[in-house]
Amino acid sequence: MRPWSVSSRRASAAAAVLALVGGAAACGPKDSGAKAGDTGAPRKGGTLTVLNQAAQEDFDPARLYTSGGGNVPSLVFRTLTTRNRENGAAGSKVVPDLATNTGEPSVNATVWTYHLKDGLKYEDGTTITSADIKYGIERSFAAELSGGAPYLRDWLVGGTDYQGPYKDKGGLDSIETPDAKTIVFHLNKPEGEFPYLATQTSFAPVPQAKDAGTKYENHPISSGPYKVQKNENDGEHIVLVRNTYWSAKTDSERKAYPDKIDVQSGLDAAVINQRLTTGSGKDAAAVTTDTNLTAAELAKITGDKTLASRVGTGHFGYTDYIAFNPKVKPFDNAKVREAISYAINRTTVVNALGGSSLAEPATTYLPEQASFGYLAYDAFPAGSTGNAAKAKALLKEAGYPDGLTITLTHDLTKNDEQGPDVATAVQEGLKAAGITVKLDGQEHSAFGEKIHNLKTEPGIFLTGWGADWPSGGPFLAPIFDGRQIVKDGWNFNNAQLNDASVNKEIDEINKLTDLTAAAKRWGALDKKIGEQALTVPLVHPVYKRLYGKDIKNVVISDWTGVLDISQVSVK
Amino acid sequence: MTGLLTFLLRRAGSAVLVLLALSAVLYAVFYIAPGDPAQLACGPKCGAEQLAQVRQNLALGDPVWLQYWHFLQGIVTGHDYSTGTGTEHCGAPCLGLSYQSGEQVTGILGEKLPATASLAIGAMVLWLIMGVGSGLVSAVRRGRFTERALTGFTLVGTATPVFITGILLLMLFCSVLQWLPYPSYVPFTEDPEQWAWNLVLPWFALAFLESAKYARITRSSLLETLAEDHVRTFRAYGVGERAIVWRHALRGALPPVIALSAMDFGTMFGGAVLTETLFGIPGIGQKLVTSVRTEDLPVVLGVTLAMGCFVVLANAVADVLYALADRRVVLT
Amino acid sequence: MSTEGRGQVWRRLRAQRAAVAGGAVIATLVLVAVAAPLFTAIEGQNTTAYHPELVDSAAGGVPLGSFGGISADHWLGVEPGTGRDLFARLIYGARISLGVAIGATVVQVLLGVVIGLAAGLGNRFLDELLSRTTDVMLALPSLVFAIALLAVVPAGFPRPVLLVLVIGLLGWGGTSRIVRAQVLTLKSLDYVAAARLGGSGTWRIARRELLPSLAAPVITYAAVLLPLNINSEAGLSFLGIGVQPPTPSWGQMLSSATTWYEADPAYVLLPAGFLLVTVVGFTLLGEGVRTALDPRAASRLRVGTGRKREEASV
Repeated sequence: MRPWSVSSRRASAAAAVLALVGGAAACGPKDSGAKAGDTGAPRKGGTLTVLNQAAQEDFDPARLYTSGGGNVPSLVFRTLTTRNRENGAAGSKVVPDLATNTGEPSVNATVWTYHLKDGLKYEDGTTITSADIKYGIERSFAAELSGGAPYLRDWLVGGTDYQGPYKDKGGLDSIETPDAKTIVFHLNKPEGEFPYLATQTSFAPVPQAKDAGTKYENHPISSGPYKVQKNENDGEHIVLVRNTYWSAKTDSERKAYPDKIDVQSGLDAAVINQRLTTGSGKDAAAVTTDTNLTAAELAKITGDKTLASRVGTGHFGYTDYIAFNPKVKPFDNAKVREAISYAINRTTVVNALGGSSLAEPATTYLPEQASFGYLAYDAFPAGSTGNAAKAKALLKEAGYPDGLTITLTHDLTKNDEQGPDVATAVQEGLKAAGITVKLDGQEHSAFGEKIHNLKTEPGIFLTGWGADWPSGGPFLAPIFDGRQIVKDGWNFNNAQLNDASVNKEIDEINKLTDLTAAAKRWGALDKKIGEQALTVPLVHPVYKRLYGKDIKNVVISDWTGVLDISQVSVK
Repeated sequence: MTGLLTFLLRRAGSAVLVLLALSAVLYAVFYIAPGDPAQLACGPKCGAEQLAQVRQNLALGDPVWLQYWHFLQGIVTGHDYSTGTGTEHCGAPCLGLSYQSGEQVTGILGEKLPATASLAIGAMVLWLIMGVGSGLVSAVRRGRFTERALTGFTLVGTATPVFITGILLLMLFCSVLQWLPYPSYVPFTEDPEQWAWNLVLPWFALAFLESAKYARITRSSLLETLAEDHVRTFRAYGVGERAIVWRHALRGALPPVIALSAMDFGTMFGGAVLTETLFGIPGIGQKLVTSVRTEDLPVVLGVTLAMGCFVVLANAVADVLYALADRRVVLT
Repeated sequence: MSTEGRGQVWRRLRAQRAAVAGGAVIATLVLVAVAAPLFTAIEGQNTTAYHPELVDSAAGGVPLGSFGGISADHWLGVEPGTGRDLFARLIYGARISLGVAIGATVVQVLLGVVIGLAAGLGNRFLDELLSRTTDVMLALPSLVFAIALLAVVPAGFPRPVLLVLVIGLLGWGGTSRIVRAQVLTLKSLDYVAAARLGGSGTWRIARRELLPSLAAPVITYAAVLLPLNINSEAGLSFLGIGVQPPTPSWGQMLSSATTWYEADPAYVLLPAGFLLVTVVGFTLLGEGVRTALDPRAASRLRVGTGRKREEASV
């Protein structure tokens, strides 16, 4: 499984057809770049097909690690809160889902209370209770059900020692359920962003009587508008049908227009884009949630207006960057890091990732969205192609008048954002400043292990970061908070920064429950950290995805950057 | 008959040895390789305690020879695994559970084999037709243009790496001529017609690669047989050329073709990795590559042993067929 | 082989036009590969310089101009996305393909001959042991081991050498089988028996009596191995585990090119064409060598010995 990057994309170009050719009978009619369907209002009915590369593995709320509840999982697993399903920046807000509001914090935000709505039912008609949510969270601690977001282990009182309900019969005391519709969480320290965390799939209710451990994923009990009819080969083929006990009155976020949703995975990226382009048969009402258009496909589509109208553009809060390990020479010298920041040629990097339509040059660590508290700054202005003169001057000051030789570690996976194409672009760009870059390519899994282990972390490497929810907190804290340095296991604070003032500021911001005010302070913190040249931000990726011609009501939020299945209709 | 039986038994014995050696080597390689499969299975944000629990669950804390011993035991007696709320029984031969997905390896093999089988069987039928056919034609039309053309054609097919043939076929049929959509595997049980249409291109890509061998063998053995005395006698008696070729010469040419087929089929069944990767066929070859990359040892072991089995089996079948067909050969 | 015999072989080889053509192509390619720096200097480009101004960034990086951006400065056009010169990358790629293939073949032949000789000449136990090992080598999916081995070795080790070793070490099985079979046949022949009676040691016999007779089948098989090894290297690069960027390799270029076959077909056709021509050239040459060394070979069955290791090429 690849936890943090999109699966490799090999693709053929989409066929921008201009001539009709008598096709073999089995292939269906050829359209001339089928255009988006009629613009009438969306209606209920029909079958939506989802064509994906990655399978919906481990379809169990304890094991899924989603952002805002995920796309397909969120159709089956409702959570305490969820993301707002609207276009653009409005989509970065948290809204209530099973709960009546986004949560009632205590004065110091260490205790959070939620009340459940009325009329919530599972697919079998039984009522959803707060005890079910408590149980759902408790079983996510079990070793057999590994995966899922780890936050609660640190945040909940007693979370670090709890081993899950199969071994620890006592349960978690820090989650209280005074009655069937109330649930209270006791945290170790103030967490103003708890409502964001409550969008995680682990906050989905699981009835204890129906729990089957590792086998639960074969038939999970649905709390959402759809239930699982069929799950083949560990998520390679999932068919969802309506959950008749779901009521739209309790759920303003999900529209649930299609009667049936057919999720097919394990497909090749090129096949997916080809099928969406041609749109024959069921593919006219198809979408993809994980396959972008690649540079080559974009090249073909750019010339075809009808096809271009079926491309959705999305922004997800993600940054690809170069990370330094200041414990390794010569990166302990700030001037060396600054020199590299000045020398970097972002144009070649943008081109390596597919061109200016698919990647935007980044000079800040935070993504360029208000919900993160984005504050524009360029600490080491390199221009679009790098400032070799300034870089050379800095290197001279640092004691390297004749240039420098460094080794850049990167992933071997083709077309990966941390892959060989980007590494080569960086290598070539830094040459102008007299910096010779040797490349150290690692197999995907080996790469992940190497850069995230304190003992093996290289001096300079490519990496990327996307937040678990669109706020400055999960973007900055795991990377720059000194207390998040992990000695055994995967460490994300690559710079190994342990600055008391930064740590204090993070704690202060976490106390704020006013998310707008918090965002401003995150932005300021990003600027402050940026001046230390601990990373060199490279690009923010842009997602461009095709959808079928019969698809209506395409909503793409800035939270996910992907169209939301809960909103589309096929009629 | 006893000769055949002893042959089979001896082959089975050496097959078991070969497979044992294979599995031991694989365990050794994975032991030496850097990387932590428990970490990969647990996920990136796994805390130290959780990681320790996962490691214990997967028995990765045990010394490597003990893990190997349990693996061997599992093949003979089966194994019980904890699901958290209960236990799951993995019947003999149990090849373990995948570190990544927790599925039984035998189950994974069962899911992926049909795709590879579809690829291998279809390709074999096609290359037999193409290979034997062109060998036949070039033997009969010796020295003429058709022979040269065919020889050249099959030569190019064999020389080209399969992924190039594949890409060129894709370009030609899906992009330029637009006769076929970009192939996407459909299981036979779901829709036989679509299954066939989507496999046409990979079948041809593989068939081009293999058919030259068969063309050459068919041609040379036909030429040899056609020059023999008894055929000359038939000609003298006025038997038609076509009857001679079809009824007498071809019969002599078939045994080595069949024997070689069995062997090639075994190798192909071993997972045509490049073809599967290019055409996105979810077979065991593709699964093998992904499993090596994620250090999912049980799946790698399972797939490799399955592949090894097929190759050994196919070799044995090939030898038996060849011996049966040509009584001059003795099974050793 | 006597010098007289050698002369005969040459004549037979020269008489086959296809083989001569193949040989000529290979010779040209080797020349171009060896003189690559000279050619790129004439063109005025190199393999690594990026030219972002030659591609259309907003449209995914497709090269500007026709046929992938062919111009006086860039004889075969440029790469999409990066704008790097294709001619330079292709002829430097030839170095890798030819170098790795030839190196790997040498390793395979050396290992195969040594092990085959040992199995054929040794006692029963040694023969069994080596034959079973050969079986294992032939049965194992070499791709798995290639991937695993390539992951294990530290980054500093030069990649092309590593490829030669990996492909070589995983592919000697076929050669050793042939050598062993041949040795077993020859062992019983009179002149070998005579040498033995005369008191020659085993290795002396191997060198003087057996090796000369082994030359023909081994060379023939080597001629078949070469194109297979070219395909192996291309296949490994295609999967992304061959030589690393920025070193160009045809297989690696092809794996990027599969994306571009509609928007920029030149990017696929050029490395595919080079690869095709090389492999066909070697194959034709190999056929010619085979026929030249044994004129009756064309009509003799070749099943039962020399089962080729073709897994890495499917």
